[in-house]
Amino acid sequence: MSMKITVKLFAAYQEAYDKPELIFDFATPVTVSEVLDKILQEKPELKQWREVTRFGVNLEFVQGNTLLNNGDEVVLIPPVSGG
Amino acid sequence: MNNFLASPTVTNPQDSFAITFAPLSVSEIYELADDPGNGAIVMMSGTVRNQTEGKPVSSLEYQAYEPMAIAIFRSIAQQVRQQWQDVNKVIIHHRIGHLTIGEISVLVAVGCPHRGEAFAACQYAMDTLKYNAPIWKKEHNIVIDEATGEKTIVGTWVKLSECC
Repeated sequence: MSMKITVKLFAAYQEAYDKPELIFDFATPVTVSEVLDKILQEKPELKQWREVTRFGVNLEFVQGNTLLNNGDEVVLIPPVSGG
Repeated sequence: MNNFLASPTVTNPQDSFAITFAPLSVSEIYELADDPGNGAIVMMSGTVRNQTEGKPVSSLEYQAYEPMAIAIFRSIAQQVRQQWQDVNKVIIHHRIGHLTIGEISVLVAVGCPHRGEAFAACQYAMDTLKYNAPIWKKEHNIVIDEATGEKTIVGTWVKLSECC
């Protein structure tokens, strides 16, 4: 069974990919931080953000070890600075 | 790090939250915060400053993950009411897109029976927004080449620690 995960990209992540979202198909269960690892393998220039990026799943903050379910919407949250 | 309660999924009918491309209006937000039970309304207006630590700024660009930002605004209002039970109104509107110097990027207004809680609640709401709302700011700096005097604009995403 494959799992479809949408990843919303903002700030440095969006610029690295030059698009606002990615869709991944995973064959095995993954955590949200493993999704970030996959992205950092594809775009090593984003590694500077690894330690400061927070995670959201379905509009809620979550810890990196959160397991994802089919259809989840992930957001990578580099430091925010609204206001 | 995230002191979040289970996030409310419905907005309190007394409150108003928005992410908008259109310019923000001080009088509109003030009216939304108005209530016969208020003795005080405190409003915070965030504006685009012309420099950051001495580096000239030409403009700012704001980007938001809108559905989550609205969910965070709701959660902020819930936390405000937990700490200051008498709060009548919590209004949070944030602008996105390209803003020039002096334009308003955010308006936060809180209406309460008394000024003490209105000041405290407004500050709490604004500080929490800055830390938790998924809204990013790209600063466009004016860089002058010392040799040629030529001006160029360089854009960088602002990290929280470097901002305001």
